[in-house]
This record gives sequence, C-alpha cells and structure tokens, in this order.
Amino acid sequence: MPLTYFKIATTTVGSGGASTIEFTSIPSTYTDLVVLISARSTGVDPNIMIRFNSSSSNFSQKRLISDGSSVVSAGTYGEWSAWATLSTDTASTFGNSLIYVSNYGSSNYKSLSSDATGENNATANNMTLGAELWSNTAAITSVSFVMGSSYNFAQHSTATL
Amino acid sequence: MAITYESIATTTMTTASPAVTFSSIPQTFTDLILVVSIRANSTPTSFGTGIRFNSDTGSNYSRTVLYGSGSSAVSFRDTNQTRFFVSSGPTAASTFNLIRINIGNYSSASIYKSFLARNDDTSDVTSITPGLWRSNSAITSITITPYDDNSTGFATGSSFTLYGIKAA
Repeated sequence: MPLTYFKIATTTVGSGGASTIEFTSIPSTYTDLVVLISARSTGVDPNIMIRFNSSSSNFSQKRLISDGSSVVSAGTYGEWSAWATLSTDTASTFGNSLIYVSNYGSSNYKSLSSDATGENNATANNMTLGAELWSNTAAITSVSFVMGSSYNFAQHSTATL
Repeated sequence: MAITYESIATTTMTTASPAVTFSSIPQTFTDLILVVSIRANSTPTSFGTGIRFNSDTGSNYSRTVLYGSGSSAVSFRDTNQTRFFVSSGPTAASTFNLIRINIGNYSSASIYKSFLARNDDTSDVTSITPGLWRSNSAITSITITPYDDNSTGFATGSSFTLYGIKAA
C-alpha cells in the first residue's frame, strides 16, 4: 500500500521569534492537509490566525471553549484557528493545535476541523474544538499563521504540514 | 520511513448516493480512521449521518455528545440506538460537513468497540462524540447512511476515506 501520510514541510522558529509561519507552493497531489502546531507567543494573546492563499477573509466558525471549570460556545472568531501559550504562562510550555483541512484542492468551500490547547501549570487552561469554513472555491496553495495582536511566535515554536 | 498510516479505500460521490459501505476491511491494522466530507443532496427537514458496523441494526450503539452551536454548549447521552449518529449535514451550496472518527482495536474479538468522532459543520455545530458498539465481533465492514434513510442521500462531491493505522 502507498504511504498516505506524508510530511510536506516543517518550520521551527529560531532565536528572535517570527511574525509569520508560512507554507507555500503546497503540492496539489494530496486529498487532505493536516497541520500540527506547537507554539508560544511572545505576548499575551494566545490566538493564532490562519490564512489561506494569503487571505484572511471569508472565514467563519463555531467553537467550543473550556477552561477546566466551564464550557461555552461561540461563533464570532473569524480566522482564529490555533492556540499558543502566553509569555506569562509556565516557562517552557507550548500550545498544541491540530488543524485538519479536507479536500483542499476542490472547487467547493473548504471545511476545517481544529483541536487546540495551551496546557500549562496555571490554575486554568483553555482548550477548544472548532468547526471552520473558508468560503472560497480556490484551491489552497499556501497556508500561513500569524499570532494574535501582532505578537510573534517565540523561539522553538514549530509547525508541520 | 515506516508506513503506519495507510489508505484502505476512498470514495468520492460523482452522483448522489444513499449510502457508502467499506467492506472486507483488512484485519492487519491496530486502529481505523474514517474521514468523511458530506453534504445533503436535498433539503430534508432532518438530515444526519448514521454509521453501522458489520450491518448490525440492533440496539447496540450508544454515544455521549458535547457540542457547541456558536451560542450554547450542550451535552447529552443516547443509549440503545440502532446506529451511531453523528453530524447534521449542511445543505448550503459548496459547504461540506467534516467528520473524523478514530476507531480503536477494531479487530479484537474480545472487547466492545469504542470510538471517538469529531464533527465540524459551521452551519450547525462543532462537536466531539465518543461512541460504543456493544459487540465483540471484529469490525469487517462500515456503512455510512443518511440519518433518516431517505433516498436523497449524500450529494455529489461528498468523499469518504478509510485509513488503517499500523503499529510501527
């Protein structure tokens, strides 16, 4: 049987941090894409925003969010797709996120599924599940991530496509 | 690189279909992952997706649902069901419902089968649903049907892929 889970690329953030993590020239030969992100912010906004083909438009979602004591649902987060730990969180901790994109080369809208958490040693920690939609019929050829509130990805953050 | 994640079969609807079945599933993996991207073929008042193993129509399925609608978070239980229910199935043009189901120890002849489904549909909910099939039989087939068994079924462009995970 063929190898069906193939690593396209990995990015590791070096010293000084990075404002963006980007995968370009994505081959059109696969059926789905999976992105795994291990990230820490240089600031105090844990949200990581996704971009397809450099676009931040036409994203919508519904999300479950739990902090260890309660769970809520919201649907107003736009292109928020992954989670990082904060610079003020437990040292050496990084958030974990999985983003699944099905039929990324199709001419239909693109459905995403995301699971994310910023586990640390504080009293509360957030975890989230998200249903996301990019209402665009273009094939996805690039995926990029930017940290919320214009913070950077801290050193040792990684992303694998 | 060890081959540990293999595509067993994949189907993409070129015409609307009321059901998809993966049969003769090899027993050589440790786990299965089913990835489904679906859209209802019409606009029924109630549409969802049901999954059965080995064509078992008995009341042997249960689930615990946690979902978020965008405004509220809800959890509930269903027991003694005749299939494993998951998703609602969007009807908006060009929009598909993404479902991922992890099925552990599917080839065991000694234990009931448990699984974990993630269902994501921005026109409806995001949800996580553990399920149980009360059977010791090894899973040799999986059938995916619309919730209400109506003939409208899944729309063109819906896709179904079954992966097997093999210990490295």
